[in-house]
Amino acid sequence: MSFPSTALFMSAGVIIWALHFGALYGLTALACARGWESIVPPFIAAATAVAVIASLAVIAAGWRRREVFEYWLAATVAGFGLLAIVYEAIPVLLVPTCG
Amino acid sequence: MKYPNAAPRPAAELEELRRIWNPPTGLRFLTVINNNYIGVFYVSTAFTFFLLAGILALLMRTQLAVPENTLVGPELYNQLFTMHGTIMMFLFAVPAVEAMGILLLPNMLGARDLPFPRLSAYAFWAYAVGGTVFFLSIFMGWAPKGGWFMYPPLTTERYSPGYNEDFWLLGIGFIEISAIAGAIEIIVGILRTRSPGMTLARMPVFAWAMLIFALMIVFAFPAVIVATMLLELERAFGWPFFFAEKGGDPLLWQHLFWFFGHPEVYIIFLPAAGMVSMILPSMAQTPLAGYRLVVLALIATGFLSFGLWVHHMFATGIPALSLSFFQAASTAVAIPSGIQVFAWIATLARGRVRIATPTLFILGMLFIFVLGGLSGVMVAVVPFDWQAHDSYFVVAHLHYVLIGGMVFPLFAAFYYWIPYCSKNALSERLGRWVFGLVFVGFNVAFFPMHISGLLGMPRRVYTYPAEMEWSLLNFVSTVGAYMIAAGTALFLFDVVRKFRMASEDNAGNVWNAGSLEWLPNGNYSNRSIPIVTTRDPLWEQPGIEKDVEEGRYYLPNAPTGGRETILTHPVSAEPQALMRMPYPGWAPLVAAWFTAAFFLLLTVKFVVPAIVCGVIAIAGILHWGWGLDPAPAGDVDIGGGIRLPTYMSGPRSQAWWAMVVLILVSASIYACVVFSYLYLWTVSPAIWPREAGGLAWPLAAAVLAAGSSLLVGLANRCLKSERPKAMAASLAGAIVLFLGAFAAMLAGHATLSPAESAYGAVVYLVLSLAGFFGFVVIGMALFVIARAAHGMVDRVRRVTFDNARLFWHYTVAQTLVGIVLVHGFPRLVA
Repeated sequence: MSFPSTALFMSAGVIIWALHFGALYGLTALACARGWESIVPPFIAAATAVAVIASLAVIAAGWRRREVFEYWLAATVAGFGLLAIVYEAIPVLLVPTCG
Repeated sequence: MKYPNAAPRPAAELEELRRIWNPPTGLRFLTVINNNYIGVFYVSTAFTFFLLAGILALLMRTQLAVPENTLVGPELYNQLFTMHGTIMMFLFAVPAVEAMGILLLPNMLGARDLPFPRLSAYAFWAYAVGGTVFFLSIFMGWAPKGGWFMYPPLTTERYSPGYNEDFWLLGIGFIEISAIAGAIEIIVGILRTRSPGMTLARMPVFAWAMLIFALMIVFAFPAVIVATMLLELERAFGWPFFFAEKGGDPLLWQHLFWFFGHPEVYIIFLPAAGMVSMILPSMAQTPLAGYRLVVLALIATGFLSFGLWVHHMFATGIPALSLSFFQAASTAVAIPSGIQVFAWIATLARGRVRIATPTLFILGMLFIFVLGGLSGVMVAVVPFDWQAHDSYFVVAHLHYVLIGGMVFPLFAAFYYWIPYCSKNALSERLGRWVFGLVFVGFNVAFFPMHISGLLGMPRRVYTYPAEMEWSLLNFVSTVGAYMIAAGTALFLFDVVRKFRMASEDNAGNVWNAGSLEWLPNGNYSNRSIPIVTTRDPLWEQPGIEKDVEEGRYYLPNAPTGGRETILTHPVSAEPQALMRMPYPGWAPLVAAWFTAAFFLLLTVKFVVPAIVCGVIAIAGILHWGWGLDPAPAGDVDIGGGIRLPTYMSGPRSQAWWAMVVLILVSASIYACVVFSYLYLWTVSPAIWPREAGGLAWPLAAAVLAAGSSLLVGLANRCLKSERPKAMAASLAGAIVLFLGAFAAMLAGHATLSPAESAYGAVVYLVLSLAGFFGFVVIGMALFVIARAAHGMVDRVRRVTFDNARLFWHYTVAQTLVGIVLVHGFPRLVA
């Protein structure tokens, strides 16, 4: 694999995490500033579903050839990203949005 | 094993290597660029700043030892805590770990030097000169006093007139540029100059840590560069980015600052953790437990640390759900740190541990850092943070994390690696005293601060009344601070006594370590560049020391007669080319000194002398660049039947890589500017224009900018078909078109004033960046034209052209994004 694709594959999991995190943070900030509170929970649900599916895809692609270091790293990094994605989305069930 | 150069080598080869790599003598020694010298200068300078900032801390602790003390007044006290934090973070911690990278990486990777040694020298000198002048500002009463985080509105012109805050904004702003220069050096060095066979899976953990460290600098430092730029623009020209009455928002500063400031903690910690992962296996004489997991933890921490910044802003009234995201991320980051701690404990458990001074400092680190991590999880919890915020509890927490996570590993590293660069190791007997004093002193000084914080003592107060019952705790803290100082003084005494810089006759592999930096070495690094087949080559490849020294591996000589190292593939580490490296020269030094002078003179508003210095700095850089990109010298044999080209262009050349990293830095800067624009609109939609202006000017600007890129593409075709004059003419045309694009951009905002509102300010910021990047790429294009006129650019020798081309296309893309943002977005939301 070329270097750019190796680097992207190894960090795909945390890039997904970063996009998810940025989307959640950005939308919540804007929605609370504009009084669009009600759109936040469904948006978070949808974004989290997309991010979870994408992370699982990376994990599956990496784990298939886990004996290769770069693949193992891609899978486990995405596994960690998945954990963080789910963990960060849970508060929407517990905390008032703009409070 | 089959050696690439099995036959005995002629004796003259080693002499030639010595001669080529010897540092200059006499006054010209100042121009030395070998990583072993620059590394030692860099580490020593950083440590000097540690001592200076430590003295400031002692002054503060002395002031606080008893209630209602009058030793230091509030004005000086504000300067003391601001300088202490600023120096420790910007002039000690980041440069110190970066310096350790410059000192150790080439040898650890089996390279002769880092790929851009003059850039390291430039970064070092700019930092050393700029940092020293910055420190001296305290003697003039000019030192910044708004805290190391410089929050507006306190730090705006209205509430902080005078030069003090400018020293922070300009002085520190440009030292970040030096850190970025070092980061580019480290990224390209780690990815492109590893020994053949050192795949990613065999890379030393310290190299992994430094790679992630440098990438974090690339993405985090731009945020603080933009923040300082905005605040300086507000102070100097009244552009109201942070002024609420004109639609600005002081919280924008906090977002930008902490988007840098939190990753900064991990920028400091990860290299230190990397050092621990190198030192512990040697002390326990067993490979690191869980190598793969540790690498995973480094990557995970590096990324996740960018999702924590708002936990410094829990008390600012951000929506409850947003706080929860950051609380979750802040607690999640404890997981990868925990993985590393358990890997270290497992390494200790499975080896036979030698209790020497480095081991002691690492055990101390484990104790202190884990405590800091636990109080970190406490302050990551929003309701607890609301209680502890701005109290001494936070002071205790941050010192447990930073001193535990960075200073203790650094002391371990000093004791561990001094035999690598000095004739003598440090004293073990004194080392135990140093450790004892620093460890006990640290806990005596900082543990009570948890309690004084919970008792309500706020941070940054210059004194307190006796009836608050904080007196005893503060007195104990002061005693502890003096114990740390005593330990550090003892360390310094030992260093003065024992440290003797050595390039060829160092104390050697006293710890029986397994990594490459302990190979016998000289100014040329290793005699021959080994083939690496394992993670701990000195343990698992018996006889490697002798084979390297006898020149049995690659490149036992200097086939082009100059300084050179092998460029390898970033993933598989197969040899790709022979990189010819520069010799020392005055140009990087002159450029560094005058860059520092430019920024510092600007601080005190000596505009004309500043411009003169700026011109000299640019002249130095041009002179330096002129000598780069040498003519191709054919293919050379490095042994084992491998012939490597001595000239590479395109994505295989090291220059291309450096340019790509620079583009990443620029894109991060621009992303922060776009964020600022969108943030200000979120906060103050009312100041955005209700009616969209005409489209003629922005369209013209976009067409002209895109046209300039097409002409640069045409120049590329001309160069490929050996028509240098047509190439130069196309570049000249591109310059004219870009100037036209910029003029059209300005004309599109003729009625807007940057000082009128935050909207005007942020639009002019986008325009200014287009102008600045335009200035840079036009300079690069003129440089290419000048070189072409001297016959120094052609179809093969085209690296200079490629760099200009890459950066040109990037600049045009960025400018187009800017045009769409400032003209398209208001239409969208009007």
